[in-house]
Amino acid sequence: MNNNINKAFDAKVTMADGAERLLSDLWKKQPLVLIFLRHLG
Amino acid sequence: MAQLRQKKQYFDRAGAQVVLVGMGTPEESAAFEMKFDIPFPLISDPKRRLYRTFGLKMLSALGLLSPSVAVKGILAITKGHTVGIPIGDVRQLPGVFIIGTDGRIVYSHFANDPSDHPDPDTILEALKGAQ
Repeated sequence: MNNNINKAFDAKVTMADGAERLLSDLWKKQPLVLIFLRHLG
Repeated sequence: MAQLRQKKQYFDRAGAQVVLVGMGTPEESAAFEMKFDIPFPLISDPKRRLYRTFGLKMLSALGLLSPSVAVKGILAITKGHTVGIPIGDVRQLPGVFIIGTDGRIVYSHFANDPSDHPDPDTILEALKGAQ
């Protein structure tokens, strides 16, 4: 486990439904657990 | 994914939003969500822009063929994990980040091999630092 206190990068992202959002919109109201998958399955 | 799905209520109770990032196009991602009844939002990142931005590691070609990776893959299958659809770069390794409401990364896990995932309880414990 690695811990740090760096600021997360913000970016425009595309959701699976095609909607575009700012990544920061996802953490503004509640902590965000961002899980990067290796594959879809 | 099965473990995460089972713990969804705990993430909800912790007041956290779980969002997945995958290398599929929006169409592939939507199909994945539907097929596996994924209860979390999914970001489509076919060009791996976010993967690179967050500094996630890539497996070397030798690592991809290493016996230890093969053994871990077989063990995962015997535990009931499905074999994923190889969409995107198969050398890409996964990772997990917890970002607090102030935008600070309070937890990060950079996988060292394809089977290197923190279990959901570890993530839930780390969430306490993000409140």
